[in-house]
Amino acid sequence: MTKRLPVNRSRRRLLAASVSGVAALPVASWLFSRPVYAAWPRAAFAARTAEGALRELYGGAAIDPSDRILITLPDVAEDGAVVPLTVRTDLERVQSIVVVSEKNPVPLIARFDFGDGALTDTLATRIKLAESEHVIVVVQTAERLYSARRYVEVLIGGCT
Amino acid sequence: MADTPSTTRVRTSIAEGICTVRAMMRHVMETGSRKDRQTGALIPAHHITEVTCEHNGRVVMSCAWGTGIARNPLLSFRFRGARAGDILTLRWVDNRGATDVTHVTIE
Repeated sequence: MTKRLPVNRSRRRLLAASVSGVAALPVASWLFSRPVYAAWPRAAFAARTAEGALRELYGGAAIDPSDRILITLPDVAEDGAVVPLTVRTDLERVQSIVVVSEKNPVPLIARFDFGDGALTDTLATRIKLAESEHVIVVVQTAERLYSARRYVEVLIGGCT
Repeated sequence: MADTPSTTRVRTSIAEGICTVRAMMRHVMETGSRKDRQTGALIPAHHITEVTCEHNGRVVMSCAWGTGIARNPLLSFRFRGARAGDILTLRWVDNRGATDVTHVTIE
């Protein structure tokens, strides 16, 4: 796993298209004319299963379970609309942390990209959970992908 | 939109060069699967898509969000290399193109 992970599938497709010459031109102009927030992973957010979202994000690369990712979530969430989440990891060279829900209508919840100097010892936010389900956290380091999951019992769903 | 005052509240604290950021944004974060009680029509999704945090103009954290982040989002994280007096900037953009920018002095 020394090769870079295939993060961006559309870029791959673009590369493939550029080999075939002229066909690449309209694709390229569309790609580069997009605004700064083009990095928002549209296809992954459009996925309707957690597996589909992860496939869109990582192109099917292997994701290893890790006990070095600590997910703090309530065992029971009374209100699925506001569920506090904290992620900590002591994995090194972290590039991004992705949060995916098992059963939300939009399984991908968020991707957090870490710049130089950003620490991975306390990342906190509040999420919505549609029903009792697992929350999956994937940590991408410079070398590979790791994941952990945690089950939350939800009393009132938070996605409708 | 540029002149609208920011509705984001950012708190920072610093210890031994490590800055803790706690940001609270004001946004409905509408899922798009909720129905209007009177008309029965679906309320369109309306949510923050990107958040960027800059330390003295350098991006330390950026987020891609969907509808699964709770209403009035909270974001907390830590980064190394901060000094009192440095500027922290937090920007967001939503799926309708609305933006918000907040600058705070780290202290």
